[in-house]
Amino acid sequence: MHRLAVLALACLLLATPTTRAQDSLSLSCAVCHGARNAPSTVPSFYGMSTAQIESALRDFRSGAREGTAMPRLAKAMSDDEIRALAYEFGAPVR
Amino acid sequence: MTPPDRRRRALLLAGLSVAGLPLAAWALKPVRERPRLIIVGGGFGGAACARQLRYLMPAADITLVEPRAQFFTGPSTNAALASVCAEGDIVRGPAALEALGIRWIREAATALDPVARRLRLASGTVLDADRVVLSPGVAMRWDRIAGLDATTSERMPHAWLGDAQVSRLRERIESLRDGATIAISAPANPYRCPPGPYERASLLAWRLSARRLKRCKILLLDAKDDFTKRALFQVGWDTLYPGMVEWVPHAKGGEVLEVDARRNTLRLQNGSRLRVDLASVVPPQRAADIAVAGDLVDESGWCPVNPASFESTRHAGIHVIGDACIAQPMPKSAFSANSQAKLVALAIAAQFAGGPAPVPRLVNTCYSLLAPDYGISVGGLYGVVSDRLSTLNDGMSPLGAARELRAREAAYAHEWYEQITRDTFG
Ligand SMILES: Cc1cc2nc3c(=O)[nH]c(=O)nc-3n(C[C@H](O)[C@H](O)[C@H](O)COP(=O)(O)OP(=O)(O)OC[C@H]3O[C@@H](n4cnc5c(N)ncnc54)[C@H](O)[C@@H]3O)c2cc1C
Repeated sequence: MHRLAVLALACLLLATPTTRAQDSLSLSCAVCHGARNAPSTVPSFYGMSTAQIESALRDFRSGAREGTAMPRLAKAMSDDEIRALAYEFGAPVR
Repeated sequence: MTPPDRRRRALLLAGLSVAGLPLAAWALKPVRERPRLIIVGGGFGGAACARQLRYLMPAADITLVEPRAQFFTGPSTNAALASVCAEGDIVRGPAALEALGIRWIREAATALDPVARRLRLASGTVLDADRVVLSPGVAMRWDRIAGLDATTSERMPHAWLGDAQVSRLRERIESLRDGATIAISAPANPYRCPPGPYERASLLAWRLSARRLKRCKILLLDAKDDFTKRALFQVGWDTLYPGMVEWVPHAKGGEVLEVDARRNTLRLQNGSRLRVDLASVVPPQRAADIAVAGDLVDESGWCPVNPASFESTRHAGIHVIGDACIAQPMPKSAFSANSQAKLVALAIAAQFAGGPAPVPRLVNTCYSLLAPDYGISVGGLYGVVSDRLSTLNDGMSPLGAARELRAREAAYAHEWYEQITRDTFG
């Protein structure tokens, strides 16, 4: 029990700084995914909802979804980073 | 370019109003209200950094020092050499940054006092800065291959610096006849664009095959025993250009020790002397001269930096990004330079706003073309672990893959080029 509590606390502490990671991480996305309305052959996430982006990244990370560049990157992303990216780029809910 | 979406802008504005609080605190400290930021080099790292700083620090006085109005970009240079695209397609420059309110001085910096943060330009103009970001790229080491210097290199063009050598090498390639022997040399690590020499050999083979010059031979003379994406390249050569590309590794004496550019001969470490019809000798490299002048390089010839902010470990307040800095395990690529540029901009903005430093997350993906419709890639995500820049995860294209995947990656490569150049230069 004690062990679990320590683990939970450690996770919390670890999670705190990663919520800011989206800054330097998310700025790199445009290098391949470009701007919002640009036509693209690289699959675009613009227009996807926050939930859709989050599940796509999770699937890349788990291997459930195949891809070229994205699985390599997603495999190193924390839950917080995935959530932050999804929030950053997810289409606003109307 | 405007930030990608409205929410982002809203976030930015929110960040700015938060940053407004410490503005009052600035007044107490000897920090200027308009911090003077100078970026040296308007290539992939410098242009991306200037642009990002402008978004993050609207009030700052931002100056870019770059003598070249236009250059050929490293990325797609090999495609242009093989006439996969036109030379004009790969010309870029920093001009569009002026419209964002960045002052562009079209001169080279000749000296940097890293303590005073004072820059001297070719005209004699002196500029003082609160922060300097250097992204000056690489310089060739002319002391490593006997007979090779800035002058003789013109006859064995490296085409590695986006200058007139690109056009010269392309012309030489176009004038090759059937049965010609071409040598491409690859230096020891680290150097700009690790897959570059191998992509060059591939696309050259494609061009010669397209011209039906099937008896030509391409020798890759290497100072290394391994190279990035090696298995993928070798499978590709066997499939696309059987017998045409031969890799001579260091262990087989492939390192070029001496050249006679007038006679088109190369002396290898294995003692053999080769006479070729065309040689493209890519010399060993180091950080550009201004990094040396500013006392920013160590004995390796490259600039050591703190990986969380790319601030020089030798001089505070000077950041070095792109090819000139030591960022292993990241390769020296345009993507790496762009990613580092954005991290540095965030770090500098945070310092002036008194906010928390950004968590470093850096990205790279390097595409290589083996033919216009055959692409492969390697890439990864990087972070700081125990004070060292570290690979958090990386990977490359699968070895056994359908041509459809190679075609898809080739399409991504073309698109990546358009996106990164737009993201960087506008
Ligand atoms: C053949 C080839 C293929 C490549 N392919 C790819 C690829 O597919 N993908 C990829 O990501 N990367 C690729 N690259 C690598 C890429 O070009 C470099 O990694 C990238 O340009 C590095 O950015 P940088 O800002 O460090 O240097 P640069 O982009 O070279 O910019 C440096 C700038 O600084 C200026 N400068 C130098 N000294 C001074 C001074 N004293 N004062 C003022 N300005 C100065 C120079 O004029 C130059 O414009 C390739 C390179 C080559 C050669």
